Amino acid sequence: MITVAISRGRLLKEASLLLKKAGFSVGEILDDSRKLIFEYPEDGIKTLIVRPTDVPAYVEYGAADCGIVGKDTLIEEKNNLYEPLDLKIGKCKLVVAAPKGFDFSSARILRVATKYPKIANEYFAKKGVGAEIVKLYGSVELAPIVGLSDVIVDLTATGETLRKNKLFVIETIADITARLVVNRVSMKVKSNEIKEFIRKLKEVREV
Amino acid sequence: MFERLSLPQGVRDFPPERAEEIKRVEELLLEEFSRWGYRSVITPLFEFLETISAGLGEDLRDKVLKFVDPSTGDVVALRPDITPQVGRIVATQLRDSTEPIRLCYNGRVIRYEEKGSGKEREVFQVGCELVGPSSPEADSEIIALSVKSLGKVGIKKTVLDIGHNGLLRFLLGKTGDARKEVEESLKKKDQEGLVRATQKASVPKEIKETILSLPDLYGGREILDKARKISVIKKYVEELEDVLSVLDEFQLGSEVNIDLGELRGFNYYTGVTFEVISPLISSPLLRGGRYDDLIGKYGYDSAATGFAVDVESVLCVTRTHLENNQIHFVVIPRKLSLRREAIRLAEWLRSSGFKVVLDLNADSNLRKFRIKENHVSNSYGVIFLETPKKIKLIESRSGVSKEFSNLEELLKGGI
Repeated sequence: MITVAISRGRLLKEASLLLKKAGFSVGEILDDSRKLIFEYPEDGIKTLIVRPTDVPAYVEYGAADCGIVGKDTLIEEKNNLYEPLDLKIGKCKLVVAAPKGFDFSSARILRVATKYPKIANEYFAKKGVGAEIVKLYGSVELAPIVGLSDVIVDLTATGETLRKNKLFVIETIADITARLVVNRVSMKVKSNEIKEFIRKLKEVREV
Repeated sequence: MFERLSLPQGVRDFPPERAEEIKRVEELLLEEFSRWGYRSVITPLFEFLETISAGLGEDLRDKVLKFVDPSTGDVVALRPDITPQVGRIVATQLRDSTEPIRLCYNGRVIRYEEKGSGKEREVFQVGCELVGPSSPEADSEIIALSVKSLGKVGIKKTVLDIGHNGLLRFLLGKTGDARKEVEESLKKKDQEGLVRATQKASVPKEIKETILSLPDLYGGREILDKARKISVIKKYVEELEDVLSVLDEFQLGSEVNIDLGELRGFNYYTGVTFEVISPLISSPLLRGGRYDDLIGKYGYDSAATGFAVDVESVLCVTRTHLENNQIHFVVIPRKLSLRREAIRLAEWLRSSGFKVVLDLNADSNLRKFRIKENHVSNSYGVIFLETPKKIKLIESRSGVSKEFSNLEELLKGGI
């Protein structure tokens, strides 16, 4: 039996479709939003539905053997995990976005609102731009509109939310997809089961 | 006031039960090491940053807690690892000893961890180093000792995860500018990341293909049959097989997992590396490997291999027996004039091997508490000195109280 922690939210639907395609009968994950643990003894897996940023912790500490989580969270958290497979779902971009007319020279110290303070910090440091990072937990797009920040660093898939808030992508930091992460010990003590799990997912993921 | 009571991130105080468990595990491990002929050494808690990084390499410079010694202005660092220190002892004080030299230690190391990671920064280690010729026999001795010593603290179900850092060093050495990126992807077993990383530099085709196969080269011994066919790494695979076949002679009963793509721990490893893991926790119980260049960095060329046990990881999967820490007797004089007799009695009991608490000024509350505590504990009893001629023993298991007219009588009849 292997335990898989899956991000709730934008990834959950795609992840469960992928698991289904790989032959795991996980349909009910979509239907029941309050339940957090689903067991499928006949398929040999158990799924935990957790917050995206919590997936690495569940896997690193061995509460789950594997996890499905966005690369954005993995870059931000820098956990000690194996990342054997790019699942090619949840495709989006991590971008710097700003209101129309913004240019870097206009801000003396750039104020950045983001859910990803470490990534933002590193990115602007590499660019040589002095930046003050404001960590927010949601509705990041609001920050430049009300003058909380000059720019935001956030994920965008279709660009719809940015457009609605009159924000424009000025730079792309990284292309993001969901990854399969694996606990270091599980990879060794359940090596056959996990190898098989990886193989099945690899077969059905989009190329 | 609250701020004054809190501790820096990653360090803790240990209450008696925990402290005693840690000590017990350390003692049991050291006892086993000494049965194998390993002698203890003690090294300093901090030393010059330059000295530490000579052994640990540049990448650890950012991973140590360092500060300026106010008296000299030198930058010193709290030790993040004891192996280089033991290496230095060998290179200095023990360089004329006949090899193999077998050394062991226990102590705390300080690790730098990202803020907020919640991980311990102070790690209790007990370890061994076997300095001398580089041979499969030496590697096997260290691995066998590591597994057997865990058996002594009651851990039987373990997995030995074994790899070869020399093989990885050789391959990484051919990746040029892409090395760092290849290392990062390798640590994550991220095959696609490896493809991207190796495309960037002009890595020879055969090396590249081998690197790309590394994330799959883990599992049971059948992995070695697969790996032996790759000619560029054949030499290393055979070294590993030699170690495994000597190891078989020790009949450890530990499950063996091969992982040729595991880039673990410190950069100084040059040969066969290993971890002993438990299915119950996600951090290894111990970690070790061969480091043939390290001691040379301190001016004396000698090969070596060793390992360090993480005591707190061990305590996550086993408990030590604590009955040894049980207090046997409490001695309480009724009045101050009986102090001398009370001290004499306590000393006599201690010299007979009992653990004795002497409460010379116990008020009535403490006396009541001792009697109550006595009822529920596994000790032998509470002894009240009523008068010089009247000694009362309240036995803990039965609660029965017996009276004696002098010490000799108590010792004869009561205990």
